[in-house]
Amino acid sequence: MASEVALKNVDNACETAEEFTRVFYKQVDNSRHLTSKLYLDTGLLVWNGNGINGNDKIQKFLMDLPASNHVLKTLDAQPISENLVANKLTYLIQACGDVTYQNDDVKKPFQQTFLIVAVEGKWKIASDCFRLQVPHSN
Amino acid sequence: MNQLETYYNQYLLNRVSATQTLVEYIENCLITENEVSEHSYHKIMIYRWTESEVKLFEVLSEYFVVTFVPVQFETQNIVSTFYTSSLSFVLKIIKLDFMFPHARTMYNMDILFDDKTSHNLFKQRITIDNIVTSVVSSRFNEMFELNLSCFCNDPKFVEMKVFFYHLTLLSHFKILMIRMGRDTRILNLSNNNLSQVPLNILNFFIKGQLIGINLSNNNIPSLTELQRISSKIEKLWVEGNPLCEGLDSITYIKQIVQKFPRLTELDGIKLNNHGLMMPFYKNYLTVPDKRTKMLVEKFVSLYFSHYDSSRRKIDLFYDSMAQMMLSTSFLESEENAVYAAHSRNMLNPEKRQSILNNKRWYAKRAAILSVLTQLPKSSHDITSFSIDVLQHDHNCLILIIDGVFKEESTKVSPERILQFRRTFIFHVHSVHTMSFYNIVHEMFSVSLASPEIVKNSFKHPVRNLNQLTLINPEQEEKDVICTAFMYYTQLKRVEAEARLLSHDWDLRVALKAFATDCKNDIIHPDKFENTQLLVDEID
Repeated sequence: MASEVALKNVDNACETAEEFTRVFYKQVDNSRHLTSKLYLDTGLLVWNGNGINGNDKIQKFLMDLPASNHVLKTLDAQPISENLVANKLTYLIQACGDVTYQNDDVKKPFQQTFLIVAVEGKWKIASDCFRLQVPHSN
Repeated sequence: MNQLETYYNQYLLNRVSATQTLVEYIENCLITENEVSEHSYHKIMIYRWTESEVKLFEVLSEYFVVTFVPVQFETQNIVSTFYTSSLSFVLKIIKLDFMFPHARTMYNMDILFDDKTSHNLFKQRITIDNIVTSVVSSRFNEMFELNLSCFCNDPKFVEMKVFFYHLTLLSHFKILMIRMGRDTRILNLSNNNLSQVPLNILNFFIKGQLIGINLSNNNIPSLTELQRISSKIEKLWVEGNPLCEGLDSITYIKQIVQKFPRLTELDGIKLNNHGLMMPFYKNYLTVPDKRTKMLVEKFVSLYFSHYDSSRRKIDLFYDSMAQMMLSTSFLESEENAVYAAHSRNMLNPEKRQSILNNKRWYAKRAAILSVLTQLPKSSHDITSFSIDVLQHDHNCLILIIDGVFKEESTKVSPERILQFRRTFIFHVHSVHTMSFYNIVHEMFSVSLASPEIVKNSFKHPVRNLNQLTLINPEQEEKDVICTAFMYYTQLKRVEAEARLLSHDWDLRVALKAFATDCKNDIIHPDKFENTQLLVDEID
């Protein structure tokens, strides 16, 4: 019985992930100024190793980045066990794809992991870890 | 030398002795640019100066409107003295009556005219101009970098007792600076106590090839000072200045990049690699304390060294009810069969269907292990790893590792280099003072590494880490280690095993502990196989 419920949870995670990432990337690419609303007030964004805490700072940071176009290639999600997250429904989403910036044709591969929580019927990002897959210069 | 010159040699000049004749003589020398005068040094004496010598030179330079580089500065009792070859300086002192004001005090001066020659002072017939030129030229290298760091304390200046008291004096050595300005690409002005960006020096470089300026470790108070630097600059160093304090790194970078749109490197960190302004860091730690760092380092090295060598051992890192998912964008093909069989991807219509059918959601340690052990043998390049720690508290640790690994060729697939991201969520369980970490969630994404990444990885040989440590060794392995340990230590088997057990079968650590115990003589002779042991041999 418990495993059926668990399986159902995974399905929900995947469907939620699909919907959520659709909204997220659409906003990041087209209406960047609305994106910070998707983060918790106390949300954490780690962008290529730069840590940004809090909604306002995240908003400022995102606005400084050039215009983007994200194309996802893989997407998967799983629910996080309750005892780790103080009983708040939380999903772990991992997405990979390619992104192009500001009319530059070069596609850069990226990987992004979200932890989203349900808050008053809406899904918000508790933490977001984004990295471009580019070699570190020495 | 004519009669007039001999007459005035080593002549003490003051209000009384400085006659009109002398003044005319000096003026004449200045007009004719008499070469002799370049090597003739006059001793300037100032009485009762109590502030710093740099302040003295600044005051003199400003009041007498003259540029000079003092040599052999000394203070004895109430007299401060230095040498200069500047005849215009001498002339002005005479004309302004051998005194100068500062802070509502009048200071008196005397001059000992033509007291020494350049040969006396420098042991060679050279001028200040020669000395400065040779110092600056020696600091210019074949990479077109002019290193004027810590200029005033250059060993040659110290040796010759030339008090080049401020970097900006260089602007008066015009021929030298024009030559340097033409060719220099990178100008290093660090460690010069600058409280302003020295425009009078930079002016020589602006029309040339300058692409980088190093102003680190000075006294520049604010970012607005940087306006004086040309916006053509591509490399800039400003760390170690008061302007950096109180700014968080993001604002700091943003403000600087706005002023210098062509900037590719700030404080040695490459910025504009990919058309983006923000720097890339290899690691982010939400809690940057030592414990977290050590923990993460230990996990990463142990996990991956086992993953690469004896993969089945990684089961110890996982909780019994751990969940893992593998996702890739690999297309179904023979060479990707293993991945295809075990991975999920919501965005792949085929995969989506299979997700709804049989899930491929591995929700037990045994299941996880069985999947991971089916994947081809790997070799990870730990130097390529980027590790972000999003959370670490008494309950949970969230770790995201991005990196590259090489997959050995199998019957169906060639050797290839793959890019991965593994998100690990650990549950933390504390008993007394010890904390146990077990993976409860893992998301494993794999894709083909881009050609750029392939070119930049596996540059250093990958060493198999921690080869002397075993996690939960098999009896066979235990026997091998035990035999080795017994050979080195000559201990009885029982004792050897006990020691190895207490050190987690880490041979190195056990040997170290044994050596220490031996030195402290706390091992009972009964514990040894051979009682004729010579302790000295152990070391």
